[in-house]
Amino acid sequence: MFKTLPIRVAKSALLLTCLVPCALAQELPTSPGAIATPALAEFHPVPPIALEIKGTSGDGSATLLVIADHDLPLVEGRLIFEAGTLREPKHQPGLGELYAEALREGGCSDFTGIELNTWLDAHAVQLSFAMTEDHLRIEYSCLAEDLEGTLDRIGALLRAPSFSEQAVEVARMQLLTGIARANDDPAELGDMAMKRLLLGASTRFGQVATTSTVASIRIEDLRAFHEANIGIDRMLMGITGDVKTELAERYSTAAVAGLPVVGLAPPTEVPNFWLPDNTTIYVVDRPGVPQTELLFGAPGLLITDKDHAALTLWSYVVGSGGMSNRIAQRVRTDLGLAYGVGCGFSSGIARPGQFYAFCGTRNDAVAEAVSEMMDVITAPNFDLVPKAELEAARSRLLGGHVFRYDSAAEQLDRAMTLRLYGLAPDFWETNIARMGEVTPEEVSLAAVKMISPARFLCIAVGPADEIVPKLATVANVVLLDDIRLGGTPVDDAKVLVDSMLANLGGREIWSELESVYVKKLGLVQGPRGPYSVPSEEWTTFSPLQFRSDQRGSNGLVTSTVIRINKGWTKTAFKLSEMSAQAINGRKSQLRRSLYLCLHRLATKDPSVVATVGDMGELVLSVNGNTLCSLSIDERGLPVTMTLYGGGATETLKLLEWSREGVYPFVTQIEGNSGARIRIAEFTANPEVPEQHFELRK
Amino acid sequence: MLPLTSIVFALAATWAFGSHAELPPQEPADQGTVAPLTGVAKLQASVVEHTLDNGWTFLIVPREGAPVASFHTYIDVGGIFEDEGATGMAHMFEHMAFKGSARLGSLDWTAEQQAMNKLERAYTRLRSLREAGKTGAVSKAEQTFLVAQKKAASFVDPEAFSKILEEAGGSGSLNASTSAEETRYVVSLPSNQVELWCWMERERFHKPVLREFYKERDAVMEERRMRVESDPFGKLFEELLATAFTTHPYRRPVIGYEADLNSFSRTDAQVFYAKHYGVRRFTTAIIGDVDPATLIPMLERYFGDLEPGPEPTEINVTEPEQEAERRIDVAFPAMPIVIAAWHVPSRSHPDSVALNLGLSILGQASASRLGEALVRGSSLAAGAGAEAGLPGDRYPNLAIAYGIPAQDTPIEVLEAGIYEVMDTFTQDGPTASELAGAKNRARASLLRGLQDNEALAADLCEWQSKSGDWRNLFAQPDALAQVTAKDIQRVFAKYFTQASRTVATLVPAKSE
Repeated sequence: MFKTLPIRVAKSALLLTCLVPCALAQELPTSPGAIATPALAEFHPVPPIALEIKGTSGDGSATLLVIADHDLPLVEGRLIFEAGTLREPKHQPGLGELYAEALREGGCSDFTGIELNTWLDAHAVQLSFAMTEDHLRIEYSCLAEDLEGTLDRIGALLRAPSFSEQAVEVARMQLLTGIARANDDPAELGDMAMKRLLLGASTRFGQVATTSTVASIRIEDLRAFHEANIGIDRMLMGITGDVKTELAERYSTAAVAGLPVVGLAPPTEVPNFWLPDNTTIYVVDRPGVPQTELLFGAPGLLITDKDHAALTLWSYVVGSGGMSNRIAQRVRTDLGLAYGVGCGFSSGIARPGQFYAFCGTRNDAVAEAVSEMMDVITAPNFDLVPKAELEAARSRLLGGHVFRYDSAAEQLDRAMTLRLYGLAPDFWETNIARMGEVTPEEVSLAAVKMISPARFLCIAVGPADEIVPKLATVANVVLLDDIRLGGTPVDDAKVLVDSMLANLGGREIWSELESVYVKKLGLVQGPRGPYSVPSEEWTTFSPLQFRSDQRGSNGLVTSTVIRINKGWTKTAFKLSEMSAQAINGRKSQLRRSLYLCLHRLATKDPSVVATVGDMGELVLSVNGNTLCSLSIDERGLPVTMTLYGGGATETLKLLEWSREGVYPFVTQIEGNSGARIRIAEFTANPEVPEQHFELRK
Repeated sequence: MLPLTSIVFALAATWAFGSHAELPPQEPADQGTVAPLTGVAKLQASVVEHTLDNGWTFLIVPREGAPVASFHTYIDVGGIFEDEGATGMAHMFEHMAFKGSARLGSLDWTAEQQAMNKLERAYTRLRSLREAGKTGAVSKAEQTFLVAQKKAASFVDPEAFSKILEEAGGSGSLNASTSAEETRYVVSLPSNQVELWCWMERERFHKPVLREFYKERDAVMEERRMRVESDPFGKLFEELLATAFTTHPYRRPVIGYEADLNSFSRTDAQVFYAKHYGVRRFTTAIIGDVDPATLIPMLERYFGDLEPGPEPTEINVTEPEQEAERRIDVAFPAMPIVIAAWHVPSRSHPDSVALNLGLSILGQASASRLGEALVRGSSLAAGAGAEAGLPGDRYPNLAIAYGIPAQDTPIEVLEAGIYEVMDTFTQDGPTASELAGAKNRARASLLRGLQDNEALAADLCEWQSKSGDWRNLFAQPDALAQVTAKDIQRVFAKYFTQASRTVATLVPAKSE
């Protein structure tokens, strides 16, 4: 590499004497544009050598990528397994992190954890085990002379890890301390809240490790995870540095000898993104600090999506790639509202990425910061990005392209990413070429597709008593009082309830709901075909009272009334008093009614316990008896309601919601039998005279 | 997982990067022969040093590979050079160095200049009214100031300076940082942009116009809120320095006190620039696909006529010897942390090599003494470590040991545990294997620093500026090879005394 240097240095020494006086006499260019910029030297990174590393069991193999770089006597390497946190048992978030730490520190049949660390210290080896959603990543850096010893030890750990109790307990203690201390970090609190809302509190993507889930993980669980995921057939290796290819192959083969074949990894889930129907700011209370952390989130795209290039350009125009993007100029430079501010679309390779925006601002400026950020973010939805601005963004994006390949380690990582995700060998080049062609129209079209100006999901982490009144001037505000970890398990159900109520107009309106009037049209399948049954119903919640007037096919009305401890049925011909059992039965049904359930959740009725069921549904119970469950879709709307009672269940499909009034209400319901009910009218807190709940002859 | 071991290091490097806590010795693991640093001698031989007549030193390292170059300008000016009442000015100026010049960043320089002068007059009046406590008049003066600010802003081509370098390929690397002792300006560019870098760097330091000063001051206030007032580690560290130092300017926060930030003016920044930003205090490293034969004449052409500036001010303040332990409890709405700090000598002191080596064994290794005893051994702590060189190392500074307690560990138990580990280490000294390992790690650390253009540029500049010769970067293995276990015991016994100790504890508080 340095073969030409001595000549260059000598030349430079000679040139100094003659060139400097001449140079000083020259005029300097008057502007950057007047500088004659030479063409950039062509650069073609050397592709890695790919080798197949076979295991001893015969049928399994892994790929090893090698890029030699003999500048300095150092070697860097990676072993990547398809064994990320998305493969941990759903009920044990945190297992992946605990596993990686216990694997690294717990030793194996050949050496203890302390013996390994002592050897690493003595030989100046850096070794880290880290978990991502998709992978266990083992990375090391060592002197070239220690490559064999380093790989030997990593191989021994992978073949027969001890998961010693002491290492597991230390890792558990560190993880629990980290969970508790997450409260001290506004960015982490905000990220956590964003995941839970955007990706679903009870999904693999939104759930976070809690004290109880971490406490529940046993050594057997770690072993089971290891046995299920760590196999030669799920591994990719990479080595770069001062190493000969044949040695890299020999050491790697020896290291992974004995690793089992575990079979191809099954595909992982894809997240269902959720956004509120109306822009909503979720506040995580962090008292005693002068600055609020603001985060925005929305769905993103796959890196292979046809709009990815346009959205990457959008990111560079609006919020990424240094200081000269719109959001930094507006929020930081023009208004002085923030030190750090930015936004963009992150690239998803295995699954869609996310839109993100962030800003830290003083508490009294939160409303202004939120408004300004939303204005800047939504602008390309309405106005084309000027061509010159787009070109400037393109230059920022592509001008530094060469840095994507400026070291052997960078080249190795890029090559490994292609292999890990099965992307075409020319993927990076094609991707860059595509970004060179994006037009202002494509940027705006992609923005319209991905950014909903009326449906921002924002998280604010700061002192609630100061910021909530200010934020309420900008959008709906919901206080997420249980997002903190703080040593107690996060209540997933509460997050789900908060999100559902927020999406249904807010907790406040449902708290204030005391009675409802509903005008229905039931469509019933009769022996002579379907017929309709119109009815009107009045319900008060406290006390629980009910009246229904149902018009039969003969045009006659049948009324039913339930009072505190009385009940009647009245037809055109007679009035009957109901038995105590029948009254209780009807009351039991009434307690399962959707709007009463929403009211009780909104008022935090202590007798109602909300939990999250196995399928992510919200389950409501009273005194240990399940009342009903609500399945909530990605929009935050209840879409089915299952009623439990008397040993039977009935599932109602809540087919349509109306949002025309203050209170959203269901307009179409389908029952188990296929019977449908259409709601023609819904009135919250109707004026109902007391005598309406009495029936007389 | 918490970045436990890096928390305090990161905190120390909040306004600085390129710490040298781990010095590079040269000794193999088994204390046998000294392994040669292959490749290092070659790299050292390739460094071309060129100092302009005005004192600006350039260190050029041509490297083959991708057509890129890293530029690192290290200015021997940091927080310790600020006047009382103007803390944060070095850092503030760092921000202003991205604001362009008369011909870069202005839509109409003559009009902008007039508007900026008017703005400055409005600010001067506003400040004097505030200082005089004339609250009635302040409101009107604020309005006048805001109007003047808006007017001045109307002539600005925003972020023109950053735009040019970002569009030339520097968008991922354009940055700067300020520490107690120095300010650094960095960027990496495709190597065909070398002349553009020269043009921009000259423009930045020749006649900066400090536009948008007060808006940027607001952004810096937000930076302070983020790094100090909303961050438990930042808050604790600020209080620790203010307690451990009574006299030396190391006691002041680099980002500045809120009151000072709210007070100083653009004129104050101009004075600071004129006093401290002479190019004789500049060292620049340029590393990558560059040819010294063509580069040096270009450097002469662009920078040779700049004024050397005034002689650097010396910090002649000596921190009096601490005679008794000091303690400070910092109430903050966060979980506890404890940091114990001791006064230790400067980088140039002969004891510093042994001290750093000892701290590496005590608190930085994979099997460090603190980690093994307090984290893995007793589970008292989720993290524990030790560092030196805080907040700088040009002058006598602080070495710290810190602990992040496990959830059920009382903070005083952890603190006692730290001292017990240190006492044992001081009494018994490191084992032969620990010492050899520390030397080997330092040697590898040197190599790792050489791998990357940006890291190498930072290291060369720092050694050139602080020790007077960049070659000392490569000479460290020899210095460390001489250190014995007894040396480490001696320096630990000498410096880690109770009387020299300052203990800062973060005490959870519901709100401040």
